[in-house]
Amino acid sequence: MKAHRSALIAFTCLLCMCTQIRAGGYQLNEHGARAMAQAGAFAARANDLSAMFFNPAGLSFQRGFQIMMGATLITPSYSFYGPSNLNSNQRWDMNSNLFFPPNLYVANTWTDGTLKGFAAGIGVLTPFGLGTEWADDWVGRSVTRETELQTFYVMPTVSYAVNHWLSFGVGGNVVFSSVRMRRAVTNFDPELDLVLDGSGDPAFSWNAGMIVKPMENVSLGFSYRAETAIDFTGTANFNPPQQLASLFPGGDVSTSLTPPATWFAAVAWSPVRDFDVELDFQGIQWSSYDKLEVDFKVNRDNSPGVAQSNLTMPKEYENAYIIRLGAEYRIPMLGLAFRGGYLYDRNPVPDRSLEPSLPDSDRHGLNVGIGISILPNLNFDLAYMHLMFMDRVTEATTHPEGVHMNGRYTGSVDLIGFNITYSL
Amino acid sequence: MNYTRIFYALCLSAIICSLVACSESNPVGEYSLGSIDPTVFVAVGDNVLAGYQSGALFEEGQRYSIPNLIAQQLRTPFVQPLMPWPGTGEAYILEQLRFPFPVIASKGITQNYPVNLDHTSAYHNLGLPGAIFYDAVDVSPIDGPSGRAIARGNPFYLMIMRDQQAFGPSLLDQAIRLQPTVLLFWMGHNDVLFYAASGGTRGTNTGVDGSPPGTLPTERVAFQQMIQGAFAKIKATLPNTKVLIGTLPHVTLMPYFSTAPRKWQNPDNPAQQLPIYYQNKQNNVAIVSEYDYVLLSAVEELANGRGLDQSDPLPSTFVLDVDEVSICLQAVTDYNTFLRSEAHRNGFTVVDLDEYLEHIHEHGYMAIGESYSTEFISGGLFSLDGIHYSSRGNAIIANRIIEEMNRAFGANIQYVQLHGIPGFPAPGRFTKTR
Repeated sequence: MKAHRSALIAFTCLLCMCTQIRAGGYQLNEHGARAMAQAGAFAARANDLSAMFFNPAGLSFQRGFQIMMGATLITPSYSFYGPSNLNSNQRWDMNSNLFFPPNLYVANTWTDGTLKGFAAGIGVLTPFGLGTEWADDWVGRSVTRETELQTFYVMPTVSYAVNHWLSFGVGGNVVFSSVRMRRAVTNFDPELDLVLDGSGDPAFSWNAGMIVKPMENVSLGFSYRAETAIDFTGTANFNPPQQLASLFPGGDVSTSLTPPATWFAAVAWSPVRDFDVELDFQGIQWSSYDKLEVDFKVNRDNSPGVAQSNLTMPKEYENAYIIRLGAEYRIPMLGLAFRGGYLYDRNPVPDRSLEPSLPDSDRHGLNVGIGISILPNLNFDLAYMHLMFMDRVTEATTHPEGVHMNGRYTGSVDLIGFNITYSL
Repeated sequence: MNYTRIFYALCLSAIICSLVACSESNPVGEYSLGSIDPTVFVAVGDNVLAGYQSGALFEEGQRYSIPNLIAQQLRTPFVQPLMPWPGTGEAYILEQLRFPFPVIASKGITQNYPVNLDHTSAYHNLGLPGAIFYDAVDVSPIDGPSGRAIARGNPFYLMIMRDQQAFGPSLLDQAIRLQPTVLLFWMGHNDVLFYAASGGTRGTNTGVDGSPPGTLPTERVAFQQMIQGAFAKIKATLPNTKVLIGTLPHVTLMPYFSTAPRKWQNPDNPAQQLPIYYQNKQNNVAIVSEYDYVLLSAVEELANGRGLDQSDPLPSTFVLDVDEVSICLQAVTDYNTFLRSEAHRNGFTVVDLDEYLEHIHEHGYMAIGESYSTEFISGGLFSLDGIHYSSRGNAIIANRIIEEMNRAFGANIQYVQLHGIPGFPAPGRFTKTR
C-alpha cells in the first residue's frame, strides 16, 4: 500500500504541472498507452481502464480492482512560412514545448456476488487541451503569442454487463478548466502585450457506450460523449505604458467554449488466439465551434474614453473524423504484447479561419508500442506515436473578421505514452 | 504469421501515404526582379513621397517614406535628405489620446537642414514638400531674393533640390541627371490640397481660363499641359527607364476632412447636437449641412465655443462646403484622367493608388491580424496631421506599388513586412529611434 501512496503523490504533482496540446482541433485522444499504441482503435474492446474514455461499457468485461496511471509526453514542432499575402516565404518556428497530460483511473469490476456484472470506477484525464507558443517578436504576434487551454475531466463511471456478449456503461463528467491567451497589440509604438487569464466554472457533461459481441471473436463498440459548455471568467491586462493606461484598462473579461460531442463506432476481430485487430471511426461534432468571443466588462461601446473592445475570432469549424486502425499480438507465456496502428485525422479548421494559435491540418499518425507484465498483477505499457501534419497552404484566409495570415503551415508531433496498471 | 505480415504491409502503406503528404509546396516564389534593373531608383513627388508625416519632414518619418521602403525591397541604395528631429515644418506630438478628440501638441515651426547636405549628387528622394505639379518642370531659380524658396515661403526647395547649375534647373531635371533605371512619379496632391485645406479660400490656379488666379485648384488645362510636357521629357531622356505613375486620391478620404463632426455636442447638455455656423463664400452665415466638410483644424475652435452661435461663425477657411467639395472631386478626377492617358501614351506603368485608397476608405485593410482604416488616429493609416500617411500607411502604399511592379515587370519582389514598421506613436513616443 505504501507504493500506492507514493505513486498517487507523484501523480498529483503531474496534475499540477501539466499543460496540454491539441489533437484535431484542441482535442486530445491519448489517454492510455495500450490504446495509443494501437492508434486509439480501442472502443470495441476497451479492455483496460481507459475504457472510461473510449467506451465505458468495456469496464464490466474486466476483472477485479485495478488502478492505472500514466501520462503522455508530447513534443510538437510547428512552422509557418509566410505571410504569403505579403509575398514572404520566411520561416517562423513555434517555440518547442513539452507537454505531459496525465491520466488516472481506479475501478472495480464485480465478478460474483450480488453485484456480479457491475463495474464502477473513476477517471481523471484531459480530453481537450491546447498549448501553442510563438516567439514574442514573430510576424503573427498580433494574432497570438501564447494560447493555452487546460481541462480536467473527472469521470465517475458505472458499467453493467447483461451477459457475456452485451454490456453498457455510462459516466458523468465534471470538468475543471483554465485558459490563457497572450498576443501583441501592434497598432501603437510601443506595442502592448495583452494577457487574458481565465478559469472555467465547473461544467458538467456525460458519456455512455455499449459493447456487443455477436460472435465469439468479433466485438462491436459504440460510445458517445456529450459536448461540455464551459463559461470562463477572468482578467485582461494590456500591460500598457502609462500614457495609454486609461485607454486600455483591461479588467474583467468573460468567454465561453464548448468542447464538442464525440462518438466512436468500432469493430474488433480476433482471427486467432492472442491476436486482435480493430477499426474505429471517431466523429467529432466540431461544427458547434463557430466563433470565439471575449467580452470586456469595460469596453469601447459602454465606456467613453476607452479603446479596448470585445474580441471576436471566427472559427467556423466543420465536423471532423478520425479513422483508426490498430492491432495487438500477445505472447502470454512471456507476458509480452506487441502493438501497432495507423490513424488518419481529418482536421476541422477551414482555410478561411486557419490561424497560428491552433495551426491545424490533416494528419497521419503511426503508432507502435509494447506491454510487459512485470509481475502477475503489475503491467507496464509503452506507446510511441509520430503524428505528421500534411502541409497546408492557405491562400484565401479572407474572412472579414479573420486574421489574413496566409502561408504554409507545417508540423509534426512525437508522443510517448506510458501507463502502469496494478490489479488486485 | 500471415496477420503480422498484413500488419506490416499496413504500416508500410501508411508511411508511404505520409511521405506523399509531406511533399513541399511553396506559395511564394524566389525573389526576382524580372525585367527591372534596380541600379538607380529615383522618386519625384511632393510631401507624400518625401516621407512627410505629422506636420513635418524628419528622419524618423523619412526612414519609412514610401520610396525608401521600396528601395529596401529592391535592395538598392537610396539617398534622402535626412532632417534631424524635429525636422522642418511643425511637428505634431500626440499628448493624450482622449476621446472624442485627442490632444495634439506642436513642436512649433522649426527648420532643420539635412545632415547630408554635402551629398555629391542630387538625392534619390526628390519628394519636395509643398511642391505642386508645376514644380516638377519649373526651371526658375530657387535661391536668392526672388527665388522660389522665398517667393513661396517654402524652405524645402533649398533642402530637397541641389544646386541648379550643377544638378539641373527643375526637380525633374535633377531626377533625370541621376539617370534612373526606375522612376517613381507621384505628384499633384498639392494642386488640390492647397485649395481644399484652406477651406476653398485660396488655390494654385494660374488664371489661364479666366478665373481669378490663386483661388481654385490648378486648372485642368494647365495640369494637362504640364503632364504632357513632363512625361514627354521623361520619355525622351530616359527611354529605357521603368516609369511608375501614381494616381491621386480624393481629399475627402483624408481624416483632415472627414473627422470633424457636422454638428457639435452641447457641452451643457450632451443629448443635444448644436448646429455649426460658418461664413460662406458670399460672406453669409450658413449652417454646416451633411454635404459640407468641417476641417480638422476647426475642432479646437469649436471646443472654444466658436461657430456655435450665429454671431460668431467659423471663418470660411475651416469649412469645405458642398460646392468646394465638388470642385475638389472634379479636379482630382480630371488629374487622374490625364495622368492615366498620358502615362499610357508614353508606355509608363500606372499604379491605381486612387482606386486602392478609395477601396481601403470603404472596406479597410487587413493583414496578419491587424486592421487599418482611414479613420483619424485609430485607423492607423494616416499620421497626426490627418493628410499624410503614417509609417504603416506608407508601407501599405509601398506594397501596392511593389505589387504593380511585380505584375508589370514579371518580378517577384517581397513586400514590406508591416509588422516590422512601428505602429502609431503612443503619446510621448514620437522621437523614438529604432
